[in-house]
Amino acid sequence: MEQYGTRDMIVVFGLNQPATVEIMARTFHDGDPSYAGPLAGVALGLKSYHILELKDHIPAHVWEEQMGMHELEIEDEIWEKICQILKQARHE
Amino acid sequence: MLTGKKTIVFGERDEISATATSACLKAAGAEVVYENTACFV
Amino acid sequence: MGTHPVIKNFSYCLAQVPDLVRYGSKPRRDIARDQGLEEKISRSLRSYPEAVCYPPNQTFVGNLTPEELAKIPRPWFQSRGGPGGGEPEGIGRFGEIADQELFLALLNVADVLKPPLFQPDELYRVRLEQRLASHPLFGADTSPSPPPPQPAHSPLSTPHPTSLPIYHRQERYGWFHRDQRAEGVDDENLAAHHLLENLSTKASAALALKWLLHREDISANQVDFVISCGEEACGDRYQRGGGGMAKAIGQMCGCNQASGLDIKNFCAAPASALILAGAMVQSGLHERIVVVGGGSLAKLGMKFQAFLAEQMPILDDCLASLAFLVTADDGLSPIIRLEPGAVGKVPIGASGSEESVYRSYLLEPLSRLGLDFTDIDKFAPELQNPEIMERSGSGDVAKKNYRKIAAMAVLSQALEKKEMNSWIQTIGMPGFAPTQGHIPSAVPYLGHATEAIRGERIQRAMFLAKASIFLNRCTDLFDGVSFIIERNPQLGPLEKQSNRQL
Repeated sequence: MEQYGTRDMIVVFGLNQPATVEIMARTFHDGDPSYAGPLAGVALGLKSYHILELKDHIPAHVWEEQMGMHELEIEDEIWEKICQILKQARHE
Repeated sequence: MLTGKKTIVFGERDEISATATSACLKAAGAEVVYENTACFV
Repeated sequence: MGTHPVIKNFSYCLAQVPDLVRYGSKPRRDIARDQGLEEKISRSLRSYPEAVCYPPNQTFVGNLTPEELAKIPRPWFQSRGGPGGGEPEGIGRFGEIADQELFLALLNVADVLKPPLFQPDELYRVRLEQRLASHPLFGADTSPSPPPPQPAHSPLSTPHPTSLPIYHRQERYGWFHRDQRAEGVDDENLAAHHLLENLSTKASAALALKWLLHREDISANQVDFVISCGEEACGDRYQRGGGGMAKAIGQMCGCNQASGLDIKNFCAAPASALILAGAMVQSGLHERIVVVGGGSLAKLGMKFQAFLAEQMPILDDCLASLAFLVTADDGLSPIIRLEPGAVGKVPIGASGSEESVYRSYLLEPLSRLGLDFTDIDKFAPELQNPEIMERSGSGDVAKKNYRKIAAMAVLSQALEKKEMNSWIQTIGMPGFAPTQGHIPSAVPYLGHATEAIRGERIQRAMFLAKASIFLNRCTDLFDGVSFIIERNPQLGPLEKQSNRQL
């Protein structure tokens, strides 16, 4: 972070557990919610995305090869929850 | 949206690996500066 | 006689070792930072009867089938009573759930070093020896050592500062030392916690091997070769991870005619070892091969934080071990399909995407054998107990892997997306193995599958084991190994599909 700065930096998850996604997304945006660890009270303001949210931005052939199976395996209910969590964490 | 972006990538072995996520991001013109695939087992 | 190697027998054991949870990797690191934590952990440990009652443990040792476990409502840790409502037993159909004192007794005889690594106080040494002498499988070849030269109650002289106290129910039984000899004393690989990890693997594996010999009713001398598939790394600074565990385990069980070696492939090592054992039997190189895996001390208490946070007992408190006997075709036991192309592998070049990984080790073996998804009655992926995994935010590992298998079935047009969940119900099962790395990787179902095939409830099962080989920090690759077992063809085909109870 010190090396690159936070401008033009985003976090991308391939994680499918809503609780984990929520903690990590909040930590990167607002600082560690448990006020422990190196990011306690450090609001980096980084926006987090799930890779499956970014489909429209990835070349189709690469997407098909890398994510075709992952799109199918995630359960609809969990996917909706993750989308909601990430939008909130990004303050959208 | 991804062109020129620096990305931090977290994956999980039994979900989506960071390698697969990075492959997509790189193909979209992003730079991956940190990547980790967790193994919780 | 046919030409297929068979899974002739198997055993599964647990050793419930709550007082060793503190020496698991995660608790040990956290206790070093927070002195009060050890006490909190101690207050959250389970009793032996609680661990015995625990339905996933009963499933691991064969008293419940995975199908029966699936019907038991969660949380399982609050469940009491054995199958049929009776009192659950520490002795399982496939092996046993050893209590901590029995495990310490095994650890004591597993230790061959002079001066010893594990040094129980004299009173406890005698107690541990008596404990082992009264065990039905170990008693016969245990001769209690001569009476101690000093008074029975005298504690040890001051131990080395790095020695680990070994407790059983608040009582300190003794100490576990580093290698104290001149050559080992400054070798970081021979620290007490590393050697405790390795000796725990040996002791737990020996328990499974003894049960395997007992179940098959053969003498230890009838074993030709032993393959160990644990994840420990034995060796000193010049050969860290050198191995030798298979022969250490074989020696402890009296397999004096056997040679052996260790197979390393992270969690997929048991699957890889079974395939190699089958190939060696099929080639005629060896007649009776034992594949054995001991437990992982490092993974005890791996998820303890979640249990403390939820005021639950720490459920990852068991060392698990398993053993399989692979022999030439007996005309009865399930065969391992080993013809060319039958075994699933992930070529180095296929590791680029998960779909190509699954194509390699799931779709291709099926297609090469002329089988469809529907020809496999049960799939066994990673079978970690979800109750241990979910609370720490890791999710239900077995379920996640079934979703992947089903996604591949959809991609290969064997299934509709809307049928995924119901299909998983049919071909799947809940995870029931403790978080012990290599132990939960597909093979916990092998014993149940063998029984289900012998009982004509299923015809065929496929085992898919994963290996996070990228954890070696030398590659970013991922590995997968698969194999199929099926009803012995010499028994003829199963009469009616409808007889199968899935």
